[in-house]
Amino acid sequence: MEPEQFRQTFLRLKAEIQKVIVGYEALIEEVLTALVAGGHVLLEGVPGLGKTLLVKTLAQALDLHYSRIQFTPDLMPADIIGTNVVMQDEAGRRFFEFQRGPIFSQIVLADEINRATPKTQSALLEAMQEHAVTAAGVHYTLEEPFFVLATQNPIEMEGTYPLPEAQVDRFLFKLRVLFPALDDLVKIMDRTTGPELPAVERVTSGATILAMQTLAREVAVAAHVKDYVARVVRATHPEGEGTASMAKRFVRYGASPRGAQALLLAAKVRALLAERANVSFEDLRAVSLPALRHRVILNFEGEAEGADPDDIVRNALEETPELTRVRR
Amino acid sequence: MTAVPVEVRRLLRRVARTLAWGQAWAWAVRGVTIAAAASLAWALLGTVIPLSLPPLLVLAAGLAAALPLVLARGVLPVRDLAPAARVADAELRLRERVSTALDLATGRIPATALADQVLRDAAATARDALPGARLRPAWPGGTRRALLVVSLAALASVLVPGFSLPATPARETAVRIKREGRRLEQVAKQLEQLARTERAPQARRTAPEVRSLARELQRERMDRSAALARIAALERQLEAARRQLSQRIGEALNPQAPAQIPESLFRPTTTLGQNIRQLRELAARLSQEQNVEGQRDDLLAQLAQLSQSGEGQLPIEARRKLEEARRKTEAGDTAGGREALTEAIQELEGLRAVLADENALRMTERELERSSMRIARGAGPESAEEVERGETRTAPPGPGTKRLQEQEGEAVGAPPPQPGPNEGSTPGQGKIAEKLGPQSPRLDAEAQRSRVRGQEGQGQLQTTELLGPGRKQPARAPAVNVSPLVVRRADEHMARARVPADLRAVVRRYFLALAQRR
Repeated sequence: MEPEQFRQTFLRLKAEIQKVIVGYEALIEEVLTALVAGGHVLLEGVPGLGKTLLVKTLAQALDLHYSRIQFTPDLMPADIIGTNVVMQDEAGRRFFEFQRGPIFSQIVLADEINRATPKTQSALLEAMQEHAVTAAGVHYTLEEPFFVLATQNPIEMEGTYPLPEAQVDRFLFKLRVLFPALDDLVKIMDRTTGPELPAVERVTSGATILAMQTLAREVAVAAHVKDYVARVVRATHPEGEGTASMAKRFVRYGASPRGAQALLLAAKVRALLAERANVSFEDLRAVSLPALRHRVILNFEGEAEGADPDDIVRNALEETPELTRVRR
Repeated sequence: MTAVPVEVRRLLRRVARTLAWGQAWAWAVRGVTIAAAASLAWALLGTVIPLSLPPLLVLAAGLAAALPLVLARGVLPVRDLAPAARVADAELRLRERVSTALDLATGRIPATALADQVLRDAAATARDALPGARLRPAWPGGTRRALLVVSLAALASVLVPGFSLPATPARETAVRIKREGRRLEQVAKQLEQLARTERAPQARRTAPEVRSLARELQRERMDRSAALARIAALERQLEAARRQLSQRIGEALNPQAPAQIPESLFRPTTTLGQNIRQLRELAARLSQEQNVEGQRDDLLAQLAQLSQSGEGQLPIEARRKLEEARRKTEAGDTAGGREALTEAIQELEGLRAVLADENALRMTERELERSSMRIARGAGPESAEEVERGETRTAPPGPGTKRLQEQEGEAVGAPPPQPGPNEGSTPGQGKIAEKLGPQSPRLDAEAQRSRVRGQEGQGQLQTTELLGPGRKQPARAPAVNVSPLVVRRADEHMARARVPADLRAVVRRYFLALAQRR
């Protein structure tokens, strides 16, 4: 695949989704970026903002297998992965057969993921990281591309289980779905209350998405840009060299190495969209908030003060110089 | 590894050169700051410890040391272009295209499938950026600090030199400089006196300069470096003048080898003076005894002896005149002989004036050197080592010694001066080896042994000429007036000096013997 083809495909996909989803241009672009980068997305927003619709539309535009899992407190891991059930053949012999769960899809919507117990949430861990699941000692590989989109409600805290850090860290992006602007709200009403709903066409295939993922990894990154990524990630930690001032005060644990990987991969995709074959500092700055905000764990003071992880990441970016070894 | 595109390389070289000069400028600012701070510290240190280097010289030395480094940084070729690539990306907003291309081309990062596109992209970007690729002039950090430190150093170099804190070595040196100024004023007086008595023109011209220097040294806030520099300047000037005089003397004595000047001529009161007196006597005899044949032969013989023995010691013109006088006298032309003799005397007197000048300059140079050494050494009395080296032999002690000491503030309540080189020694056991040889022929006169106190070179110069054989004549420098003072000083000295107990009786007997001679 050529970079220009990459860009065109990406833009077509975006345009197709925008047929259904009004506004949220940046959000759509970030979801697609995560998809092309090969990561998963955690969408955070109040109910009714179109999160589920976004994922569903994406699946339609890509012509991929799509499944939705509604997380509830009584949801069990087997409900997600699948389970062995006793079957009987024509001869009357009984045997176990693995019944695949909804995880065996290419786009999985984990709706209200924080309503399930941590045990159930953790059922997603292997699938998200390895793109494979293990059930009753049997290893099953998931079909590529595999993309998990989880949603969570930040307001309702009653009866919810915050995602464990290990789980959160496996999401490439955490995106905040904000309330639409007034104009967009009017458009939403027009588009969804009329006699006809907009139809979504298939724009591309899973194979094309895989090719795009491969091409994104070919984008070159200069040595000092990589160094900058490492320093930014290091700056989110409360201790050590180059720590940002807010991180020192409000952070218990900073971003993990997965944060650096996420930052770089997403920046590569953004570079290709900007018709470049190399990553720039601008790309990194653009994707730093969604890539790092969910990896910064606040300490007690941070929680008490209501510190926003976005501010901490911004502070780390501000206090980390891009050029360190060159003085003019 | 791939070649860096030409456009990229050209752009990077341009940026690298700008960066190099920017860094050189930053180094220069840092160098100036350090040099100025050192100069400032030096100036402040000079208020406590006497220093021989002025603060401005320290500043200049620091700058001179930094300058080659700064120039080298700006001029030498830049090998690593990576910093330039990063700055070019940042300053020209090239979105890291150039630095990524350079990293790919130099193998700093592994090549990818998109490497060629990165290089092409960088080349195109560099081509577009090249015409207006001018980096913003960077103002190096620390410039304000440098300006502040330089201003302080400049202020200190004007205000601080010559200022000294009380009860510090610097203050003692300042006192010493003033004292040397007073001493040099005495030297200027001696020069004036010499110029009058010997009709020495160069001495007359030198005296005001020495006086001017002496007054400068007595000024308020004259620091050691400035004093030494001023003295050195005058020393150089006097040395040049003295060399010219020596050249003239050499040419007068022996035009073929002007450098060979007999050492005896530098004592104008001896050989040359004797020759002039002898010639005057001959001229007088020539005018009185022209009819006495026998005495004329004797006169002719003396003239012949003078003209022959004076070779290399008398000016060639004087010897020629002597020879002419001898020939004319021999031929009976007494008037012509006398006239030639008078011309020879004039020649010799001219030479004597030049020699007096030369001697005066030598003496002044020695005095200046002595002052310079004392100021350079700082406060404190002269050491015995200095005395042994003969650094104080220029002017013999004279009647002005005590007055000079009083002027220097040493007379009242101050310890007595250091003993002279042979003062207080046992007779016959002096340090000079040649005195231990066989006794030289003595004048038929009553010797009056005497000791004078103080150091050589202190007091006014008194020159006494002993004319003729001096038979049966009393010495013109009687010691009778000096002896009581010497004895009293000896008593005082013995009371204080560390004389070994078993030798105290010997020393006591020695001074009693001196006292009995009164």
